[in-house]
Amino acid sequence: MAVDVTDSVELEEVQKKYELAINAINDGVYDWDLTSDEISVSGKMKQMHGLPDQQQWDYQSWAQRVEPEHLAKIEQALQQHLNGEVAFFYAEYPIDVVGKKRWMLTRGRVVEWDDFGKPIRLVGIETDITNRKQIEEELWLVGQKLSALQASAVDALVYTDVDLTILEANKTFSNMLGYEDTAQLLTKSLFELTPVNQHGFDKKILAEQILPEGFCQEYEKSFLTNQGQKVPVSVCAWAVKDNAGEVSGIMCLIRDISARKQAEQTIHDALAELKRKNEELDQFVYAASHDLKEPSRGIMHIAQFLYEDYATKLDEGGQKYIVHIRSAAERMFGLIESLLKFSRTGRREINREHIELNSLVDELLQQTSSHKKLQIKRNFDSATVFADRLSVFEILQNLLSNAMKYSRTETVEVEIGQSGGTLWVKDNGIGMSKESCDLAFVIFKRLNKVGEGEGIGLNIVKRLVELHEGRVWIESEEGLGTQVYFTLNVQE
Amino acid sequence: MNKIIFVEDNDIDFWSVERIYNKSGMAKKYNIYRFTSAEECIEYMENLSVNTPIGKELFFIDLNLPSMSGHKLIERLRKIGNASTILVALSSSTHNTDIEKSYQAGANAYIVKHEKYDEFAEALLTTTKFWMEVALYA
Repeated sequence: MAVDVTDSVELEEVQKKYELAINAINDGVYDWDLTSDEISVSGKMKQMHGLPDQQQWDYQSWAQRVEPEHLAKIEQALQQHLNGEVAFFYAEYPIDVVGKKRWMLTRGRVVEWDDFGKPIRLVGIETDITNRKQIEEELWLVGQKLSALQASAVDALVYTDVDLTILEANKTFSNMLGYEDTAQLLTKSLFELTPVNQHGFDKKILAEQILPEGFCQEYEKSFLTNQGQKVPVSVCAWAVKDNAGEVSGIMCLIRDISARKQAEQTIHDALAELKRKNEELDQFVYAASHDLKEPSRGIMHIAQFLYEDYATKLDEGGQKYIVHIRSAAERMFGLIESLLKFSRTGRREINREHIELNSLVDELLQQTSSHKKLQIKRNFDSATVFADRLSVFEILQNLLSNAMKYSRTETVEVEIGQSGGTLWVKDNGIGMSKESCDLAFVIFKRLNKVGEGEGIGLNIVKRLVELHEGRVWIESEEGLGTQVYFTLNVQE
Repeated sequence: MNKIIFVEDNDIDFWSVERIYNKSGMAKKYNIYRFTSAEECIEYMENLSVNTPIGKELFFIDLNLPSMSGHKLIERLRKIGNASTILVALSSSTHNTDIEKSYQAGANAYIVKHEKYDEFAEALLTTTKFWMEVALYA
């Protein structure tokens, strides 16, 4: 008896430890008496299923919380195990736990059989796998989104291993290279699809950017179609890393830029053509005006011979005509000279340097002669400008000459200024209307009858400003003077 | 005999020259020759007899000639001429590059065919007078 008592006490101890252990683990435990259909479960299991600790486990109320199709599957799995077809009873199933859907994983095994080999007791554990199921679900969605992205992308997407062997490619890529099926591209290396002379560059990008930096700057290269033709593309690539941070593959975004390349070529050709035409035109203007000098000089000279030798034989009217011939020829000669000067201006080289504005204006004033009184006001924000000295000199010279030409007052007041990259020459002259301002840069357009000039000064100013990639504009009002502004595109 | 040689294809320009020399009386003092191309001038120079007594030779060379240019002609004449061969470039251009090129080719002077007759006349006479009457040759 005493032994029995001791035994039963020890047994009780063991039982308690066992229950403690069961309650300590995160999984639920169940013990199913298959003959009486009584199921005893651990507290944890009840907790997992949202049941109070004191409530008895009941198969029916559990089964009601499982959707029929899943219940059928579970029962089928159970039956297979009981029949001895599979070693374990195993099922993953969703279940309603206090109004919320949770996923459970159950694993059980028959532990007792009767004398006829019929299973009578099954013990199992159950795990809440809701979190895992959610992650699986999210992963699946990510996969779905990725394939949707690949399928719908205008750009080609290619996933390769670290040696650039293609593991995945979308339809856009196979279409781009003229393959019928993306499967034809798998296991091919991107090098195989690249002209040999570009392999070195690809390798450099891979070794210097993608692998160490994790991505590469967008760069341009070519791929070969299955017919061996080059397709110009731009490529961006990212290293795809596993959760240990190791590069497991490379995702490449590839864009067909044939259209852009073609457009670029067209623009390039057109620009070259334009440049050639312009040069031709310049050459033509130069040659033509040079050649025109000779006959116009001839007319001037012969008109003079005629006058000197035969004027006495003509009446006053005849003499006047000769004088007109000479002055017309003289005017023509002047125009030709201007044209020559203009055409030479356009072919000038721009050598930028730091120009002291004050000394430049000093020099300008030394070279300017005028019968009028000239008052110069200087208004410089900074002392220097970075431009071609000769050009700035000529610009100011032309503008100053205009200011003096188009003045009716005895004293010509001119302000030469510079502020924030804009230079100006402002006068107190006769000014001009808005319409005249618009016409001011039309070649040989003389806006006023006052004074002399070929009307080329502003054109030369404009050309010189344009050679500096700057801008020139006029603000003026009749009777209130004119301000000519210009910039010289100083980028330092 | 001292010679003034014009290489000038333009008739009107040469009329001006003739008029200037006639009016100034220079035409009587010097033999004035005219060629209308560089080739003609070279041919003449190369066929000159070795016995021809050396005198002053003043060339006025228009830069704008048909076929061979005036610059090229100056270069050639500098080589085949003698020490007293004076080469004056004549042009309507006032452009620096034209002027520089002429001196590089071997010109002694560069004068502009001024569009105003009087100014051209003065330039031509002064130049002629300097080389023919002022400067000495040995």
